[in-house]
Amino acid sequence: MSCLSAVRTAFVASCSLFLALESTQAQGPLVVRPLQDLSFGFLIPGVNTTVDALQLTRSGQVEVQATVGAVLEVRYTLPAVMNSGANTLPLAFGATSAGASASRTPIDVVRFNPNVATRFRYVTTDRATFFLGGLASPRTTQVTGAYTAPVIITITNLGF
Amino acid sequence: MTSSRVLLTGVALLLGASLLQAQSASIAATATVVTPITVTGTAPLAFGTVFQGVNRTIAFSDLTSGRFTLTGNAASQVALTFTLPATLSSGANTLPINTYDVRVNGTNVTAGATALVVTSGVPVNSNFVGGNLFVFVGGRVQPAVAQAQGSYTGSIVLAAAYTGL
Repeated sequence: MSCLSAVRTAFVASCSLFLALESTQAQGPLVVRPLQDLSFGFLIPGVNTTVDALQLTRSGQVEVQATVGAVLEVRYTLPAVMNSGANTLPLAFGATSAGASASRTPIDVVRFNPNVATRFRYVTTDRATFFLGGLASPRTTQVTGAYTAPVIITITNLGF
Repeated sequence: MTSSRVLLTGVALLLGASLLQAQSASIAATATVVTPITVTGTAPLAFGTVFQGVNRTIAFSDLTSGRFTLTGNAASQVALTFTLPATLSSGANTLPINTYDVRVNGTNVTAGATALVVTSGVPVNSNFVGGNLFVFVGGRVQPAVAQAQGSYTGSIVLAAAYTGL
């Protein structure tokens, strides 16, 4: 069974941690693939809308491939607003707005706070999907139009 | 000697740094702010005077067909959910109503209106045209041979929501 663990929270699913026995180990490539934008869809002025990380048709999704056993640090650069020309629409991300899964499903997801750097160990998997939800808060006077903002995810392989 | 130690240290640091791989990727956060949908019932479905044992049909294009006017965003798709009564009531008496004929158009004319396959309580999709959508409702009442005289009424309810498309 593929397995992913959050080192910081000491959460271990139904898998076991094992440490690398060798002090040096060749690392495979670190590959980060964008899969899906975070899409809030249609918003009504004055009506807040939340996209949950596990709302698979809407959440932002990125796949990260690394070497089994690697410890990765995940860091998001999150926008405070989306933009439509000169108009802005506030965004917020909470302590459980992000999730990680080795199976790209809610079954084994580990929730985490995208506002802080979080470390994960690839216990028996070589890839995982990172999900991102959020809260959009259009004002009652929000100007209609298409809004967007970039979300950057930076993955650092810390080794074994 | 000092220069050699510095050289070795620099090499060690370089080796250590190369072990940390880092990659970034970017996705977008997106949203479309739209005007709220408004739904207005603008005319009742009026069968007028009906006779015992004689069915009466009002076509969607008749002047007394039921009418709704919707406004919303541009050409966005909208899910329409109708609650269609099975009977009209007059006190304790009921008058069956059925065979609804529901059509939609982007302009407030019946010519060229598109038929919807409507099941009460089940959403059916349509699209705004320039932010407008007009709904026309026809139907049939079936008074019984011994239908009690009186004024019968019922409510046809239309709920609309963006589908996001």
